[in-house]
Amino acid sequence: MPGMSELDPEQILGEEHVTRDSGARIDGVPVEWTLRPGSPEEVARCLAGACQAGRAVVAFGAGTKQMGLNPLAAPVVWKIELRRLDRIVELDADEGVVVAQAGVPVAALDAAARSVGKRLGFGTAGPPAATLGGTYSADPLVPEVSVERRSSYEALGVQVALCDGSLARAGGRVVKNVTGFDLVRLYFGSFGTLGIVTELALRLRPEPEVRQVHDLGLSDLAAAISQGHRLGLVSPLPDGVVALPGGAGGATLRVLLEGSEADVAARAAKVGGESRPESAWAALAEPLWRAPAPGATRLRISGLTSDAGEIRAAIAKRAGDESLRLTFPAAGIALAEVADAGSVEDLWQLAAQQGWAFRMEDAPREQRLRLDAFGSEPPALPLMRALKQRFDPGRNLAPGRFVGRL
Amino acid sequence: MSLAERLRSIPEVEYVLDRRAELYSYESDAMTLMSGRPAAVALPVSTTAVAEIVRVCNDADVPFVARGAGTGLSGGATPVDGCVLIECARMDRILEIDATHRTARVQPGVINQHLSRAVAPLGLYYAPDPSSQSACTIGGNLAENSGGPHTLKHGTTAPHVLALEVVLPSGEVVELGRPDGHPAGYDLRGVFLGSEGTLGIATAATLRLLHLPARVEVLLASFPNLHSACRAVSEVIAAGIVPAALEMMDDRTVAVIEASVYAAGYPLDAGAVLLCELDGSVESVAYERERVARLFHSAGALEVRPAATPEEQLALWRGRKGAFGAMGRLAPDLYVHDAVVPRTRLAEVVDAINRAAAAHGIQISNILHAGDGNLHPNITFDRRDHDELERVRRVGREILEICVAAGGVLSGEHGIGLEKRDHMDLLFTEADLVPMHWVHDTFDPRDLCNPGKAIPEPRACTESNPRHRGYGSVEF
Repeated sequence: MPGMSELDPEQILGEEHVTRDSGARIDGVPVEWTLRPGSPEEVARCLAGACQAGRAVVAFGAGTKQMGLNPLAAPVVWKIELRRLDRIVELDADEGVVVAQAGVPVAALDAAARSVGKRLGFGTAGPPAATLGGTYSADPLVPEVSVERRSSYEALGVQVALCDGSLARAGGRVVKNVTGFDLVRLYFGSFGTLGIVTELALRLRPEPEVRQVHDLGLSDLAAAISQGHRLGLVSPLPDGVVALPGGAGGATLRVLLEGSEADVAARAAKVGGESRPESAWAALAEPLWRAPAPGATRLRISGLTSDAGEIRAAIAKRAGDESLRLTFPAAGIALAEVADAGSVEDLWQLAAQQGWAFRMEDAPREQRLRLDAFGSEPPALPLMRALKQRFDPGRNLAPGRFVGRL
Repeated sequence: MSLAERLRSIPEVEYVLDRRAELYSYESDAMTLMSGRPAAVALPVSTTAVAEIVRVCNDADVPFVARGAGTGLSGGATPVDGCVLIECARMDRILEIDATHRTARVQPGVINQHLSRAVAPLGLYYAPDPSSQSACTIGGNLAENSGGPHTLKHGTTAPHVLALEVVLPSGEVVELGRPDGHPAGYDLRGVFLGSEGTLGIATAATLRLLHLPARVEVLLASFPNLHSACRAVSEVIAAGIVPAALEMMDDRTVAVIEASVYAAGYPLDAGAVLLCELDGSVESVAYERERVARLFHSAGALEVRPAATPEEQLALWRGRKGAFGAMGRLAPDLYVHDAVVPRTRLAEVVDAINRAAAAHGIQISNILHAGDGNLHPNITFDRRDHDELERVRRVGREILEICVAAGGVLSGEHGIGLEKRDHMDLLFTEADLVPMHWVHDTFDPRDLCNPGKAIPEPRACTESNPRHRGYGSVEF
């Protein structure tokens, strides 16, 4: 770390790219410095400097996930904004690979991919401003989410700035790779608590020839869940299934089908229902990142598909069906907005008892102070703590924010 | 009490082998150029027994190495001298099949193909299919993140693993991941997979199963040369078609298969042969078959022939999967190399590899998982010829240099093991390797768990670290 012993952020980045004591806060914690590095090397230097200064650091993309983390365990924080890392390094349509810096908006990257007949395999349902680095770091939830298409495996390679001021790569730019430990998976969804992602290589998926959306009207949400569960038992699986309250019959099962014209037509005939415009699927994304009503918590509870009915019942008992939506086919994921803190706590406890995964997507700070936003402690938490200690011995990287308040 | 006696006293350890003749067959895996001599081989049948073996090893400060069927091709299960080899092949029970959620919970000694056979009556199968699938175990697949021909569409082992029960190097038992695929916290499941048994021993796994497709078709296409076949592959991929498998064999490979018991009727007058498997709905397969055939012809195919019956499909695959066995006809020893390059650069890379081999007087036959750029240059040689062995070693390194220079990586499915550990510098800087060591040292601070595999030590440590001792035979 040459020159880091007497850190002056203005010297690293030039005064136009730093702001001191702007009055800004991250989740209630005052921002001491806002740093806007323009290269991976500058990110590494900023991080090393903050670690040497003993300051907490938060890597910041578009800031769309800040309310779904545990509160920062630090009196002040250095904010490292990544928006200037906005370069698409390589877009190789024939190879089906794209390499881009962390600050590139996912929507812009997806548009670039679509211009050459491809698309990104993850993250495209996030807020319009969401960045690539933030999306990868936050384990994105998309309407198509399913175990069939695990989004983490869409990432092929990653470059990360580490606390010691180094830049380290893992993975590569090819679609098949078992060279060394798979750190691409480790950093995915780690919320910048092990390092700061500066660049990613991603797989590109072919644009389907045809995309159809079908709505099945059902009498209530329980019936929609049963039908969604059944669709997961037959082959070929739909490309996405979401159960929603509302619609003509009381509840709706919305089904996405993608592929060739003949294939989609044959599958659509089996699924039935009413054809909807393609935008009806895209419209499912917005409630995933929209801010909940003041004081309310938007939460996610996941289990096996056969748990979905029980999860729905538990949520509906406390918050009604109105805000619920359940995503299939391979895992039952329920999303809901819950108004009162007591009900959130009930559901947190119930998820822990039942072995369901619990996560606050957007919650008031007080709620996240009282309850771990990531649910009860996972069995491997001691190992995770040890790993965090190795990567971040000074506990500078987003301290307290991740599972178990790591 | 001796080490072997202590191991014998552990309940649910069925056998402990420590006589020299008994240990001989455990000295290497299928990468026979490296070997080591274990002090004992223990064959446990339960997680509890594995954990206790590991604790005994910790007490005695003895390294331990897990092994499945020994089919690994990178030396990942090569024993370190004096270690306890934990042979998991007798932990071979399918613990649970959950057709509703399409998962299976298995012990590590279950043979890959046996799982697919067991779930076939339910209309399901397990997608990762290494060429050795009739012998290799799930535990070995987990350790190496194994691939196979069908990786193209469905990925290597890792995306098919939802949760793992792991005996950590301390002897503690922990569950990584969740059966619903939505774990909280760091994805330790993902890191563990492909770590070659250096972070612990998987004693059970919850695996994702797929529906058997409604329709499967296999096309055999012959091309005048490797370049036209590679062009065909690039055009299929660029067109957005994702076949279940897209395999290529060069003329030397075809010739040796056709001369063997695995003869499949591949054309002997072609410069290269492609096998393309399409799966999915009846409609999608019919549509893709037409498109693929058209692209093959436009790339210069001499012939495109669909297998007319399921028996013909099997025969075509038998030839491909028997290729490595057939190469025994060429020379006493076979070194199955493994690397990946961008798919669009396959032809030039294979040319460069063939030139490098020719320059060293080395015989190479090429098999490629062409759809995902995964090459297997197969080097046939005679290890008794020390000069040839040295040339094989040099060509092995040069192949990796060629692939990395083309934007590729060192392994697509065999792993690093001992074979490529000391070539990691071609791809990674010291700084890249540091976080891998942080992960390793977190899991295994005493460095007893399959020491010396997968990642090289930082240069400063190589002189003194025991991880670099205890492997013998051939420097590779």
